[in-house]
Amino acid sequence: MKNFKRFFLILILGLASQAFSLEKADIIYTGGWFGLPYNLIGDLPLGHVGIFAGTEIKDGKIKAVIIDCVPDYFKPGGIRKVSWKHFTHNFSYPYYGNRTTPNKPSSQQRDAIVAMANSMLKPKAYSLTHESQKGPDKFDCVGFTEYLYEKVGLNPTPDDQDSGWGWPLTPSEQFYATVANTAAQNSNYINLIRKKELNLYPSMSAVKTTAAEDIPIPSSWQAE
Amino acid sequence: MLKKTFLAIALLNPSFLLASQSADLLSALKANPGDESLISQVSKLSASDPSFMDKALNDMNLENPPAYVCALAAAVSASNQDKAYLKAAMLLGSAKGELSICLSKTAGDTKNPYASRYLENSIEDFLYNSDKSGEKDIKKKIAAINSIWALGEIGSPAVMKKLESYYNSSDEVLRINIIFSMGKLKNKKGLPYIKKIAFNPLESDAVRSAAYEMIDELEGK
Repeated sequence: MKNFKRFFLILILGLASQAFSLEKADIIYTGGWFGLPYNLIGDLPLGHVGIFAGTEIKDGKIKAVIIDCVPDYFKPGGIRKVSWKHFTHNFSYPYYGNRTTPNKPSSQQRDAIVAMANSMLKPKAYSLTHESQKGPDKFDCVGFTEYLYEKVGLNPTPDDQDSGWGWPLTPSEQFYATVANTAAQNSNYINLIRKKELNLYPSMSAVKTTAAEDIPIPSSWQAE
Repeated sequence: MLKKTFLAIALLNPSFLLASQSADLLSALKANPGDESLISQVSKLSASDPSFMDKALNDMNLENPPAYVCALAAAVSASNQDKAYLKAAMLLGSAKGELSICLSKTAGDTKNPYASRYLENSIEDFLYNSDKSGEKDIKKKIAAINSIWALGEIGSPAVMKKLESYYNSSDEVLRINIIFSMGKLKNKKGLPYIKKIAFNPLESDAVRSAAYEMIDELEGK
């Protein structure tokens, strides 16, 4: 009986921790320095975005693998593979959560996103002016994640939000357009947007996916 | 004539000029709350001029735009004066939504020594009084995340027990932030607890990875 109780407890705890677990290819958010007035970048303190690429065992320790894109003057810079410390700029910003498109990626799409991100690791690829957010040659952090999702046929942010002059897509906008990756939260958030209770981005009601072949492949990537 | 004379005297009077300048400075900051140069000017003037400090503190209220209030809180707190810290902390206690999000971040940035109680209230408000079935309370959650982060930035070992008490009621996002904050507490107070998390096979790999990384930080590896 005692053993059964113990087994049951372990099972429940195991299921509970899995229910909220980060999944490979989730888009993850932290803070950052914006360089723009607060009211121009949205009402959330989000400044940096990356792709969670899973975990690996290194020296007997579990290590998070995060692929993001930062200015070239960072060390490491450009599209890079890092862990929590570098992603949060030496733990100087909080971690704000893991999200995906409302149509959650399949496991094949998740594998493809991570494989593509790994294949794009380059020392210099950042668009400091944000004129080129989604590539094909240069990216910024939020554009990089947008690009990866679009390549597998998903579209985190409606296209009218992520094109145009200046810095059209901000981490806050992508955060609002995506959903927390927990089964219980997804449907509710989508319903909230449909009911327009949040009503921040009315274009969310017509989220479309983009066919993968429509999206340009970076020339550096094609060469490989 | 009398009116013109009065105006000339007023314009030449240093205190009038200063008052006018300070009002302009606050108006400019209200219009551009993200301007670091203006925040720095407000900070310097509030440190040297008590009457300007009072004006700035008076503008720190729930009626003004959140971005302006937070810019003021950052500016006046940089003077290291108790009354500035206290006002910012007390305002945090009654703030909601965006103001709560940015004031909790400011409390951490400025290491406000009076903010811990209000930061804890913000975390508890999310953990125990919010709708967690969807994202209706997402701003409460962001404020709670900022509050956990701020407790770490302030670094008082006294908050360790509180952070421990939040751990089991928190989802994965909050748990990762709790680990980061435990790792920042002075005297490495959080290390034994973080080790327990890292070695716990029932915890998710993502959370354990954060714990392992924080252990490396604390042990200087």
